[in-house]
Amino acid sequence: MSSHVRGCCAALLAALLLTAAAPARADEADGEAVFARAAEALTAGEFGKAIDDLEHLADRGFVHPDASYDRGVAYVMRVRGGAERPGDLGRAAAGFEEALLLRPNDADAQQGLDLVRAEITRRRSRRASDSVDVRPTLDRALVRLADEQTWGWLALGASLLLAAGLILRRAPRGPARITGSVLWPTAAAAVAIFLPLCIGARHLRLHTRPGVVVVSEAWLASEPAGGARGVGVPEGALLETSERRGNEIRVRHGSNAGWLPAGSVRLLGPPS
Amino acid sequence: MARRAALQRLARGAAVASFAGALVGAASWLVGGCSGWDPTSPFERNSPEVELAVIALDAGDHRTAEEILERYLGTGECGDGGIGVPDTVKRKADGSFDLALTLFGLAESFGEPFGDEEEPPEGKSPDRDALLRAMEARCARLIIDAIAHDEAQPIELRARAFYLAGNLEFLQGRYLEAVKLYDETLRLVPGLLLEAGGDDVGRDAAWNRAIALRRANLTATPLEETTQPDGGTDGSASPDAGDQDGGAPNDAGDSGPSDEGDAGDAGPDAGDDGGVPASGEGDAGGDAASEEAATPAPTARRRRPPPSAPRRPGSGRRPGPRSARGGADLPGAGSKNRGQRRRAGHAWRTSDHAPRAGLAGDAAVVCSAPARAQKRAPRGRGQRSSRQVEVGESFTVELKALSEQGETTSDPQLRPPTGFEISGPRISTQTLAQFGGGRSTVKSGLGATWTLVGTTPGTFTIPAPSVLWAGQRVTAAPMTIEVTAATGGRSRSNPFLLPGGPPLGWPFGPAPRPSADPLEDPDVPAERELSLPTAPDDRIFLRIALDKDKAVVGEQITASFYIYARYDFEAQERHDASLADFLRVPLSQNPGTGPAAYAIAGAHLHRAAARSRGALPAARRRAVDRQLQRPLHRPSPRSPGAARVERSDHRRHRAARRRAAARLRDRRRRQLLDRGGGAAEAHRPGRVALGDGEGLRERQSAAAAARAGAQRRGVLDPETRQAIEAPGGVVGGWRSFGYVVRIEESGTIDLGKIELPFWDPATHAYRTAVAELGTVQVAPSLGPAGAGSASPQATPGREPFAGLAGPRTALGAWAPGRAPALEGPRLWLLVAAAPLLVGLIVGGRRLARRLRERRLRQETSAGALATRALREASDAEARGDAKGVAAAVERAVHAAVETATGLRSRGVLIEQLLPELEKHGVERETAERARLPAGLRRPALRPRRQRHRPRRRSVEYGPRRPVQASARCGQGAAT
Repeated sequence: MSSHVRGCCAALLAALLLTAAAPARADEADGEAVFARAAEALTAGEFGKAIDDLEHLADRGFVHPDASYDRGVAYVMRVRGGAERPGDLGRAAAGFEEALLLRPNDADAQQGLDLVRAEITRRRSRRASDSVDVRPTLDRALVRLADEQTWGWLALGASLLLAAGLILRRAPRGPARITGSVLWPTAAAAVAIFLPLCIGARHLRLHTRPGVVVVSEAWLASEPAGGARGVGVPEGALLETSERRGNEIRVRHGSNAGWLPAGSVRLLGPPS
Repeated sequence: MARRAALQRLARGAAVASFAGALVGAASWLVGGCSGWDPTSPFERNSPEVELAVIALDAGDHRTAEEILERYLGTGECGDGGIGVPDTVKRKADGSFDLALTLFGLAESFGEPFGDEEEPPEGKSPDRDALLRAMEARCARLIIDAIAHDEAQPIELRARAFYLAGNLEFLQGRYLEAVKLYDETLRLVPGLLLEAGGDDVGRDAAWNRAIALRRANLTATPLEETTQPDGGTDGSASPDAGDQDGGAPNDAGDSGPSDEGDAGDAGPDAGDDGGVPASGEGDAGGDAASEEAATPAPTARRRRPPPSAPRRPGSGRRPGPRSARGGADLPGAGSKNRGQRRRAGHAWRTSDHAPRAGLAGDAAVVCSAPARAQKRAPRGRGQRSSRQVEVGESFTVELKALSEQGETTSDPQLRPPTGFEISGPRISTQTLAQFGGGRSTVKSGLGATWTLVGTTPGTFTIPAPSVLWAGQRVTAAPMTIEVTAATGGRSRSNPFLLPGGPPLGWPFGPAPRPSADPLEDPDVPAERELSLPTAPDDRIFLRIALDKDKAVVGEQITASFYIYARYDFEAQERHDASLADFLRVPLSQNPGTGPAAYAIAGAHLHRAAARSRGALPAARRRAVDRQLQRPLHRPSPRSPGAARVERSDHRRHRAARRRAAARLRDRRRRQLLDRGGGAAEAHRPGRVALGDGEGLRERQSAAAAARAGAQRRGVLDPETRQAIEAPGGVVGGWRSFGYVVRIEESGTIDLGKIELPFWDPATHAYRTAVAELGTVQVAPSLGPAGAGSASPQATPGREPFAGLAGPRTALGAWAPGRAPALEGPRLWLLVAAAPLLVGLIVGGRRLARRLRERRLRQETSAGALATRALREASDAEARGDAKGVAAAVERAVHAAVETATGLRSRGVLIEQLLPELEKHGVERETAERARLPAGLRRPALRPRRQRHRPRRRSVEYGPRRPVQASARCGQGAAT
C-alpha cells in the first residue's frame, strides 16, 4: 500500500470521526442554551416556561445535576405559586433525587428533597393517610452499604491478601508462616463476602433503575394488568424499578414489590 | 523466700487493682453525675437535639425549640394545614411531648396567657391572635393526640398527654372539650395525693377540670345550664373530679390554702355538692344552680377574673418541659377534705356558682334515684317560696315528684325542724312532657305544698321533703331558710293562718286560684289569630306561620314559630329549621321568653309559645315545605308588579362574582361599590339593599387582609362580615365580602366588574349594583427564597419551602459518571488471578516433585537394578573382565530374587538361601539355580569401617558406578 493511499484513508477516518462528534457537541451546546433559558425563566418566576424547557432537556437525554435540581425547584415554585398540578411534589422530589443521584453531595438538593418530603408527609397527615413504613430487604440493605466499585475493590484486595496468605503459608516455620495461616482463611472469607455483594450491586446497577412516584398515591398491583391492589406508595417515594411489561413497570418499594402504571413513576438518571 | 516473694507480688497486685477500681469508680461517678448518664439505664440517653430544645425552651425561646424538635421528629413545620405526624412521633414520644409543650407555649404567646383567656386582649388584633393560637394549638393537638391515644405508650405519659390536650382546649376556650380530656386524664391517673399513690397530673387535671366546668357553665345558654348544671356525668360510670377520690381524705376539686376564700362560693367544685352538709353552707351550690336557671342567662360571656387560675403544664412550679427521657414535672393541686360530703349511692347535680344572698326566689335541687334501682326513679323537685323570711311570715315548700307514666308516687312528707309551724300538704297532680333527642316522654306525678311559719330567728335547714315511690322514699334536696326577727314591714301572706292548723278557706265565695292551670280555665281568652281548626298532635306540636306565600328572591318573608302544648314541657334540645335557601334574621331578641298566648287548636286550648320569629329574605327560588304548620292567614303577594328573578339570573350573578374574585390581585383589597359603576373607591359602602331604606351594603373589606388565611393560595371563600338586623321588623344592614386570592399570571390583569342584582322593595323591582374593579399589574413571582416573604402578613417560618435554595443559573462542574474501570469479567479475572496464580505455582511444584519421586522410585527398584546389573555384566564380559561379570551377575541375581520374591537375598546366608527361597514360594529347582550365582563371590564375613562421609541426596539418587553399587550391596548383605 502506497503512502498516498494510507494518507487518504487517514483523512477519511478523521473526517468520519469529526462528522460523528459534531452533532454531539452541537447537542451539548444546545442543551446548555436551553438550560440557561430555563434558569432565566425560573429566576423571573415564570416557572411554567422553565418546567417546559427543563422537561424538554430531560426528554432529550440531557443529564446534569443542576438541570435536575432546577427542575425540582421549578415544580416547587409551581406548588408555591398556587398553580399546583397533581404530582408536582412528586416531580419535584424526582428532580432533587436525580440531582442527588448524579451528585450525591449536593446539599441544596438534599435540603429541597427534605422539604418536599416533609410537605408530602404533612399533606398526607392532613388527609389522615396512614404513614408508609419503608423497610428495605436484607439483601438490598447489605448491597447498598457501599457502591459497586467499593465492593469490587474490597473483593480485589481480599483476593490479593488471599494469595499472599497462601504464599506465606508455605514459608518455613516462623512468623511468616503463622501470618499466612491466619491470613489466607480470613481473606478467603472476605472474598466470599465481598464478591457476592459486588455481583449483587452490579446486578442492581444493570437491571434496576431508581424512580419516584409522581402521583398522589400509587397502589402496587400483584400482576402487571388487573392484579390485586396492594400496598399504597406515597407521592415522592423513591422506588426501585426493574422489568417493564407494556404500560406497567415492576417496582420495589422497601420490602413491597409489585406493578405500577409506568406513567405514575418517573425514572431517574440515564439508563445504565 | 519464694513464698514470701509470691505474697509480696500478690499484695502489690491487689493494691494496684484497688487503685484502678477506685479510679474507675470516680470516673464513673463523674460521668454519671455530670453528664446525666444513668448507670441503671446505660443504653438510654437524651437526644442532643432534644437537649438543645429543652435549653431553648427553658430560655423562653419557643420558636427555636419548635424548629429543633420539628426537625428532630421530622414533622415538618406547623402551618395552617396542621403538622405532619410521622411514625417518629410515636417512636420518640417524649420528644413529641416536648414539641407539643413547645407549641402550647407558642399558642399561649398569642393572646392572653393561660387562665386569662376571658380577658380582653391588649394591643393585638383578637382575630389574628385567635387564628394563630388556634393554628399552634391544632398542631399541638395533632402531636399530642398521637401519643395520648397510643396504648403502647406508658400510662404516665398518656395521662400527661391528655392533660396537655385538655389545657390546649382550655386555652382556646372550649371548656367542655377540655373537661372531657381532663376526664381521660383522671381515668388514667386519679387525682389522689402522692402519699395515696396519686399523681400530680391527676390532681392538676381535677383542678383545671373544675375551673373548666365553671367557665363552661358561665358561658352556656340557659337551656344548657338547666340541662347540664355540672358538666359531668354523674350517675354514670365516668367519674368526675369530685368522684375520683371518693372517700379519700383530700379532694382535687377544692384546693388548699390558696382557696380558702373559695369555700363560700363552693369553689371550683367539680364534684357533687349536694350531699347532706354538716352546716348550712352545703346547699349553696344547689341554690345557685336554680337561680342561674331561673335568671335569664347573660347573652355575652361574662368578663370577670377567673375564680382561680387553672394549672398549666408550663409555668409556676413546673421547672421545665419534659425532656426526651424525663417526665414533665407538673404541678400538683391543693386539696381539701370533702369526703364526708359525698353520699354513697346517690349522684347529685349542683352548680358551683356562688349563692346570691338576698335573692328571694324558688330554688330547686334535682335528684335522681338510688343508683341501685333498676327502674327510673321519680324526679323530685323541691321549691321554697323564699330564702329569707321573718318570724311569723309564712312561706311554702313545694315538692313535685314526677315519674314515668304508669308509676305512682304517694305519701309526701316534710318534717320541719323545731321552730317552724307547718300546715298541709296540698296535693295536686303534675304532668310534664319532655321533647328532645328525637323522642318525647311524658311524666306524671304529684305536687305537694306545705306552708310553714318560722317562729324563731335563725338559719335553719329544712330536711328534704320526700315521697314514696316503689316502696322506697325518694327525697329532694334539703333547703336552707333564714328566719329573721319580725320587723312588721312585710305583709303576712295569710293573716288567718293559725299555727299548726289548716289554712282557712276564703269566706267570700270560691277561693282564688292563682296557681291554677290556665289551660283548665275556660275563661282564659284564646288568641283568635293563633287558633287552629285541627291539632296535628293532641299534646304538643310545632307551627310555623309565614306572612306571605309567594315572594321574589331578595324579598323579606317573616316566619313565626310556635309551640302548641297542653302540658308543661322542657325542651331538652332545640333544632332550628335548616332553611338553607334563606337568609335568616331573628326579629326577637329573646325568643321563647315572651308571655305565652293561648289558642284553640282542634278541640282543646293550647299554650302557644312563640319560640322565635325571623325574617327570611329569600335567596333562591324554591317552594318551602311546610309540614306541620298551617298558616292562619294567607296574605296576598306584596309585589304584583315585580319582575321575578329566575334562577338563571341568580346563577349568573354568582358566576360573575366568582370570575371577578378569581382575578383579584393576591392579598390586595378592592372596594366594591354598588352605585356609579365607576372606578373603585375605598371605604365607600354602597347600598345593594335587601329591604327598605336602610339597605344592605356590600363592600370589599380591606380589613380582611389581616386574617391569617392570607397566606393561602388561590381563591378562598370570601370572608363575610355583616351587621344585619331587623329593627321594626324590616331587615337591613350591611355586609362585606373580603377575598384573598392569588393571581397565577403576570402582567396587566383586568379585574372586570362585579354585578350584584338585588331586590329593591321600595320600587318593587330588581336593580343591579355594579362595581368596576379596574386593573392591576402583576409582577412575576420571586424565587423560592423570596416568595415566602411576599406577604407582610406572613408568619415567619410558616412557608413549607422557605428554606429552599434558589435556582441555579449556570451548569456547574460535573462529569458524567463513567462505567467502572474494574467491573464485570475484568474484575472477576483480577479477583481470581492472584489466588489462581499462587495455586498454579504451588500445584506445579508439587507435581514436579511427585514426578521426580516417581522416577527415582523407578530407578532404584530391584528390577531396574537387575537390568542394570545384567547390562554391566554384558559390558564386563565385553571387556573380558570376569570378575566384573561375576559381580554384576551376582547383583543381577540378588536383584531378580528381590524383584520376584521380595526377599533380600544378599542378607541371607548362602546355606539358608535355598530354604528361604522355597519359603517365598520359589520352586526348588529354580532356587537351586539362583543359589549358585549368588554364591559365586560371597565375600567374607568381616566387619567394615563405618563411613563418615555425609549422605547427600544427589549422591543417593544419582547414578552409581558398578563398583560402588557392589560395595553397597556387600555392605547391605553384611548388615
